[in-house]
This record gives sequence, C-alpha cells and structure tokens, in this order.
Amino acid sequence: MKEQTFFNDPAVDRLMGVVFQLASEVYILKDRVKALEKLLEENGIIPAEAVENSAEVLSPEEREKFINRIFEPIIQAEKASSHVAEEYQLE
Amino acid sequence: MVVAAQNQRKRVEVRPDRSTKAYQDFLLGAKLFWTRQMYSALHKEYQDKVKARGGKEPETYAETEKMMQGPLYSFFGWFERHIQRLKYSDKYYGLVAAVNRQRSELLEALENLPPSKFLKLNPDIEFPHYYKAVDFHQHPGGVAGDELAGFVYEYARKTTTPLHIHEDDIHFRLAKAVPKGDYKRILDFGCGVGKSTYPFKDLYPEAEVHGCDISAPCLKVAYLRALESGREIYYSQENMEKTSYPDEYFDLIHTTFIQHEFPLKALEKITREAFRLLKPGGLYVNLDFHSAPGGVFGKFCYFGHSKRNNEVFMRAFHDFDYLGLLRKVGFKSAEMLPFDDGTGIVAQNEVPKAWRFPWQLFISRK
Ligand SMILES: C[S@@+](CC[C@H](N)C(=O)[O-])C[C@H]1O[C@@H](n2cnc3c(N)ncnc32)[C@H](O)[C@@H]1O
Repeated sequence: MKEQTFFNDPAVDRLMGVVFQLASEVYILKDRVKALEKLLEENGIIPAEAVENSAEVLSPEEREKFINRIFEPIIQAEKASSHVAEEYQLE
Repeated sequence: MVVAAQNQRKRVEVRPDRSTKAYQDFLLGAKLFWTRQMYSALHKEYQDKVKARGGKEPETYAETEKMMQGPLYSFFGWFERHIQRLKYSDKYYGLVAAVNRQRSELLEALENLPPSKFLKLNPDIEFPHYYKAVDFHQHPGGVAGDELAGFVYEYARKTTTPLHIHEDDIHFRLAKAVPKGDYKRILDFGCGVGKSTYPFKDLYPEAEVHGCDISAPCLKVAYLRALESGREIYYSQENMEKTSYPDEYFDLIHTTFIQHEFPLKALEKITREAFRLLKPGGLYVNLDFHSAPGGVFGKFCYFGHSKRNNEVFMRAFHDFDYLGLLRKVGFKSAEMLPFDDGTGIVAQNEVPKAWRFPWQLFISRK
C-alpha cells in the first residue's frame, strides 16, 4: 500500500520528513546535553571549557549513522507502515 | 494477605531508553502544536475562505477539502498522519522498536503468567475479515498481530488524547457517568488492555467484573496488570459478535472506543449480542464518537482524521442512526448524551477550540 501524500509535489512530503526527523534529533540531543551539563555541574567534575577544548569524539561510523537517519525519508519507498485492505481504502 | 503478596509483583514495563523517551516526547509536543495552533489556524483559514465566497459554506466533505487545498492543510494532514505513524513505526525510536528491544523479557513475562480462572484464552478463535484487513490508528499489524502488541497499544494510549491529564482519566469519567446501580456483574465489551475495565472494579468493588476482547496479546497485558494491582477481574477471549457467555448474564455492559471500528453489519450483530447478554432492565453504555460538533468544519476535520488514521469505518458510524439500531434490536430506551472528556462539553453547533474526538455517551436500557 502506498503512503499518503499531502503536498502538491510529493517531494515536499519527503522534505517535511527530513525536517521533522532532524528537529526530533535536535530535541533528543538537547535533552542529553542538558542532563550531562547538569550532572557535571552538580558534581563539580569539570569546568565548561573542558568540553569546549576536548578532542573530537564522533567516529566516521557515528557520522554515517546520523546522516542515514536524517536523510532516509528522501529515499524511502512510499510504503505505508500500517495496512488497510484494498476494499476498505477510503477516497 | 494474598492481595498484599500480589501487590509485591514487580511491575513489568516497557522502558524506552532516554533517546526514545525524548523522541516520543517530541512527538507529543508536535501533536499538541497540531491539536491547538495548526487546528486553530486551519479554522481561521476556513472562515476566511467562506467569507471570500460571500459567506457560503461548502456543503460536502469533498467540496470542503477542495476549498481548503493549500500549504496549511497540507502540513495539517502531514502532521496528523505522520506523527502517529512515527510514534509506532519509527525504526529506531518507535514503540514497536522499543518493545522489540525488550522482546525476550516481555515475552517471558507473558509466558509465565500463572494459569487461572481470571484469564480464559481461545486459540481457535476466528477473526472477522475487517479486523485483519485494517491496521486501525496505524498500529502496524493491529492490536492482535504480534504477541507483544498489547504492550505497544498500552504505551501508545498515553498520547492518543494529548489534552487529557492522564490517559486513564477518560475511563474513570465513563465509570462515574454511568447511572449508579446495584450491578452484580459488569462486562467491558472489547476491553483491550483493561484500561476501560478496572475503573468499574474500583467503583463497584463488590461486583464481578469481566472484560472480553478478541486480542489475546491485549488480554494478557490486561490480566498481568490486574495481577500486579491485586484486582480480581475475569478476562476472556471472545468475538463480540458471538460470545460464549450465557443469556442474561450481565447487569451492565459498557464499551469504550469501539463502535467506530466496526462495519455496520458487524455493529448490528454486536448490538444484538449485547442485548442477549443483558438481564431485562440491564444497561448498555457506549462511549464513542458520533455527530461531530462544529458544522461543516467539524465534520471536515473528523472525516479527514478517518482517512489519515486508517479509521475506515468511522465515517459510516458517524452518519449512522445508531439510536435507531439500539431500539430496533429491542432496547426499551436509548439516548445519546453529551459527555465531558475533561476538556468540557462541546455543543453541537460550536466549533471546538482545539482538535478533539466527538465524544458521545449512549445509554440504553433493556
Ligand atoms: C480501540 S480498542 C479499545 C479498547 C478499550 N476499550 C480501551 O478503551 O482502551 C478496540 C478494541 O476492540 C477489540 N475488537 C475489535 N473488534 C472486536 C471483535 N469483533 N471482538 C472482540 N474484540 C474486538 C480490539 O481487539 C481492541 O482491543
């Protein structure tokens, strides 16, 4: 079954998917960073500059995973995740 | 003492990781934005467009859809469809994925449920065609497709009605809205994971409380939760069209979130079955969606929801003379009453301030 589309150009539907997932990732990160900073601060473990000055931590694999996740809606086949038999599909 | 021991059972729970929780929280935020801001903007656009046509409102759903075409309606539709889709089906942070990460642990919990008179399963039950043909509200595979579907449904219900304080509030409201009576035996007809069942046990602790559903995965979760909370509730796997209970067995039968999921033919069978199961003078209570308030715009939103959320029988039920059916099968009285879902009662001609289901309460007496 084909996924529903809502824009005149289905490209916009996919683009909306990209933006939406991207925004969700930012939110997830915000949550983690805030939790981390709070813990570090509370425990007096490191000053903020230590994070600023630390070496790169993300590996190429992590980068690839991130990129795949964000841009997947572009290549996603328009296949619905849930099913309605043909005779019940609505106009 | 037995009850105390049961209370000590460790609660079996779906524990999404931190990122999944943040993702689901993001979806909830997006859904609230859709429920309030996008919906209000859409309503304003509707009013402006009607004004531009000299005040002439469109007459049909199709005409309204045509009039509303444009970027805002596109985004509105996209959000409505995809927030719900991603809630279940996002590959990493969806509820199906979260439950699958705990697959062996959750399966074990269900397999180790102690056999008891409180859970009656029927592995030979036959599912009606419409049940298997539609993934209602975009739950992939439906609520009986996977052994762990009950856990997914239970978790998903947290955000079905984002304006409610707690997802179980609606069920307590129903229990309280039912006219008080000396109910000896009560049935939750189509009980799912038992969220709509247990408030009746709490309100009528002396009553024998039953719940039936066709989905074994849901019933197992319902039974598990009853065990954990020390409630005695009888769950049974039944097809509501033809159950195994004797005639005139119940004083009160109630349903929640159900009528709109049936094709009209099945609805008639189910209504007849409820009538058979009730004692003379017994009450049949249905909490469901009907007669959407808000005129053309209200109907337009509701009918659109039906398509965008795989609720394929919703429209037919909306336009159906359900009270007529209740009277036809023999109920002496049947009425449709306004129901406060916690966001206030919305009058027929009023356009709701935020998107909401058109709740109605049906009360019929045999
Ligand atoms: C939307 S859920 C509502 C569950 C519950 N009343 C609640 O409020 O959470 C609908 C339920 O109806 C059940 N159902 C649908 N058709 C049925 C049938 N023919 N016989 C028994 N149960 C059925 C489904 O398995 C599902 O659990």
